[in-house]
Amino acid sequence: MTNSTVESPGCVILLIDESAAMESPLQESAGPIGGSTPGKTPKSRAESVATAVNAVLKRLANGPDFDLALVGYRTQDDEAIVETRWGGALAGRQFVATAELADTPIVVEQRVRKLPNPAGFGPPIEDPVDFPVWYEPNTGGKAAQVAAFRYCRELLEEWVSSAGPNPGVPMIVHIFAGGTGDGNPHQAVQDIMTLDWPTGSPLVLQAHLCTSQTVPPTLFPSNRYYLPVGPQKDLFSRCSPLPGSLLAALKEDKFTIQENAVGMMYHARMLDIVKFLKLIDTHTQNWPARPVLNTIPLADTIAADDTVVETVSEELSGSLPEVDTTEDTYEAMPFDDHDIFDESASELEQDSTLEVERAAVVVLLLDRSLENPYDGNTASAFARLQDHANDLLGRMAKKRSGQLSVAVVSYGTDVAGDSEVRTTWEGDLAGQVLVSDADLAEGALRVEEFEQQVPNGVGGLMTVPVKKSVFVELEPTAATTMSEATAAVSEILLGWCDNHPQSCLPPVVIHLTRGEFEPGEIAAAMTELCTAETAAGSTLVYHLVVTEQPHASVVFPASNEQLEPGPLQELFEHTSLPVDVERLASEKPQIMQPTSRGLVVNGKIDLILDAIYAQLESES
Amino acid sequence: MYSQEISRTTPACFLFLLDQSYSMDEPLGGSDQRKCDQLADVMNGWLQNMIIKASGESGVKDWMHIGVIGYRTDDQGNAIITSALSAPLDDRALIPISEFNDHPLRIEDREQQMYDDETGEMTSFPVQIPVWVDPVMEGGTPMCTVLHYAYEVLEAWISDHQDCFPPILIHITDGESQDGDPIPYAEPIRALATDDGNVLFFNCHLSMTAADPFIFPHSNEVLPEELARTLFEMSSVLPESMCERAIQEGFSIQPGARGMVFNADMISLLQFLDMGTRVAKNLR
Repeated sequence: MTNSTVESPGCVILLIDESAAMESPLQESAGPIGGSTPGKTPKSRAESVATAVNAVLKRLANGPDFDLALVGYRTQDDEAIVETRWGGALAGRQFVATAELADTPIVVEQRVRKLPNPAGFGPPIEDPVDFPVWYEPNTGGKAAQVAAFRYCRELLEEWVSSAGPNPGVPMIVHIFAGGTGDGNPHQAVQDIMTLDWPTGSPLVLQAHLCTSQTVPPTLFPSNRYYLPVGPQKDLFSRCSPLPGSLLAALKEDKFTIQENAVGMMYHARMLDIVKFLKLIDTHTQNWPARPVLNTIPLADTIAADDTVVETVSEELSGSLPEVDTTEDTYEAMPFDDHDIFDESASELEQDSTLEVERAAVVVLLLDRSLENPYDGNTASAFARLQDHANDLLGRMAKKRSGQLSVAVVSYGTDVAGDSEVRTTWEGDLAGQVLVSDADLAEGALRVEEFEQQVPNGVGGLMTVPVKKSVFVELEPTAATTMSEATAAVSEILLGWCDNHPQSCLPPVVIHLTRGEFEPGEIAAAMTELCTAETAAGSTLVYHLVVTEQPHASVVFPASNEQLEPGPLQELFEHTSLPVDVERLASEKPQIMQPTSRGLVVNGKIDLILDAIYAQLESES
Repeated sequence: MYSQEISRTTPACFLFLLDQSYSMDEPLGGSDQRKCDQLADVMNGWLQNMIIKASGESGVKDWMHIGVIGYRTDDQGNAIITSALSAPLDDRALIPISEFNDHPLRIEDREQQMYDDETGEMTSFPVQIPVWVDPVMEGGTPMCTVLHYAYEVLEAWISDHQDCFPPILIHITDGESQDGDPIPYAEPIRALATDDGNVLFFNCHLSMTAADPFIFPHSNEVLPEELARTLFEMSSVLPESMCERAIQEGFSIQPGARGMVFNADMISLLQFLDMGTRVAKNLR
């Protein structure tokens, strides 16, 4: 997969070992190069690393603006403690914009740096300087590396969902003193290095602090074959190959470095650590500035294929002259951006005798197909799609608005290999097609209770009991065409629209799929799907895709650039704008743009449902 | 064996053989710096460190005899085996260390990056460094000839110092021998011995091959090129006492490790030399 051009800043995670191993002093020779000042008690590894890290933060505070997390890990009573280590005004934060750093050190210490004697060759002169401190180490216990890398992955996935378009490649910079205390972190690191994001997979760079005065450091090796068997060899495969820009910078810095060098140091001296940390500067220096929403041009595809954009601007610029159309109030208007989907809506609109009805219909169109439905994979794309469906239904059940009707239509094949479309509920709701969200809670097949680890808000994890209702429980099947299913959906929606012509919302279809279709299939099916309409417009179609093959998480894109060519890009062409997209874009500019489509790949689509309920709840 | 105390009466002997052939003009694999410059820097740095180690209240103690021999060929391909040092240090093969202290070729002003452990910053300090060896790069690589010369020098030294720690021969090259197979010339050198053990022959390979540096291979199968395998065959097996020492220091060394370094950059080359001289430091 070719990497997309970087359009917005990436992020950096500084990951620091805070196990007891960091409490012992650095074993560095006090020679002319890189040693600590002779005659002084050597600093602990933790202190030395903290000094180097604070020096980097000071530099980054004055550099380009990007998101930075500072994560420490250790154990207490054999429980892994992994948390972001910001303090002071930043305490509890995960990612912090580097632009915020300048104003937020925990404390500014007075330290003395040594400068060359101006007389030439004399003793160095002492120069008192302000030393801002953002990171204060807190050490103890074992090195919970597995937990640490898992946490980093969560941070990254959370971050990417709110990152700008095509963000720069995230970088994890890990400094550690010894072995891991909670098992082999290989898988946890691989899980990060294999995140397949549009501009590339996150980089993992790791530096091990020296334990011997005489053993030479291993700096950026390129071949694990030449590394001694043991931790060095193991570490090699857990470090990312360095991109060309970093290789060039290291060569510039007089490192002997090969093309395939990976971001790894072993037995590193502080001098090496400083150069290691400098890679953050190099990696981030060319990231673009954070995008400013208003300056983003409208996507060409939308302007070309669709009149949506034009119509929106007409709406806003005065087709409703009696009403104040400033941003603040237009949101509450009965007909905002939805009637733009259907010219016939204007006819209905003119009929002023008809009241707008606060009602909505949502059909979940569930694709049951899998490449191999029989492999017993409990975490298959279909299993995850079904989880998403149950999650959406659970949210509706909680709302109990009585205003929203929902149906689930699934499509797959039966045992004979023939196409099979199911439209009715199971369990207590058996036989029904459209069900009010008020009745949904009673219709669950069962309620599962389990414990879930969730971020505790201050960088750690906590275990909370979670109840999850299961409404849909299907098996995956082999692939089939979706035309039968879309015909069924269309029929359901037409029936509902007959009874609710003045609904405040057009009918909504949320299509949950793994995104594998024959060429042309999507266009035909979507045309068939969008026959129903209300006063607010014709059917809106959204897609939630959980891919079988790795694909970057793409959330509400404004263009198809981040999507793999083929079915996903075709789906994009047949995706509506999210309900109330203008408001969402102004409230959540990180996720949504005014031209975003209601398409999510390997992410969550809850926002669409929230927007529908917001419409139902808004004043008529 | 390999346990003789090093002192003024029982000095150590270090003989360096420096490849001065034309190819030393090229950069080390994966680096932008010329091999001959790196080699000269390392050589000068090592000599300075040894002088500092040998310095006491009564001046520099002559604990060691040091020779630095360069080898290359002239226009006609004739071997040139000369001292790589300048007058007055160039008239003998082995010179007491105090004379190095007295006669550097020149003092150079350089900048050195220092890490400030209070502020985590790198600061550039002016330093003055003595220079004894300048880079030379011309002609071919008469390896057999220089090995034969080294044999004669060491044989003569041993006959006068039978009770001393055996000489350490350090050969630094980037190329293939152009005057025959050097392995038969290396064997008699390793066979030379004092009462304390056989001559230790270390080889350091500065290769254009872009491969990671490594030290003390235990098998020639891991070596990426033929020349490196030749140098492996020429190198002494590290004596047990040195191996134990290295393992204690945290080196990963397999049994049968040889005194060889492949593609060593500045740092591992210095470490390599430091390992070779550890015996001296041990006995201050």
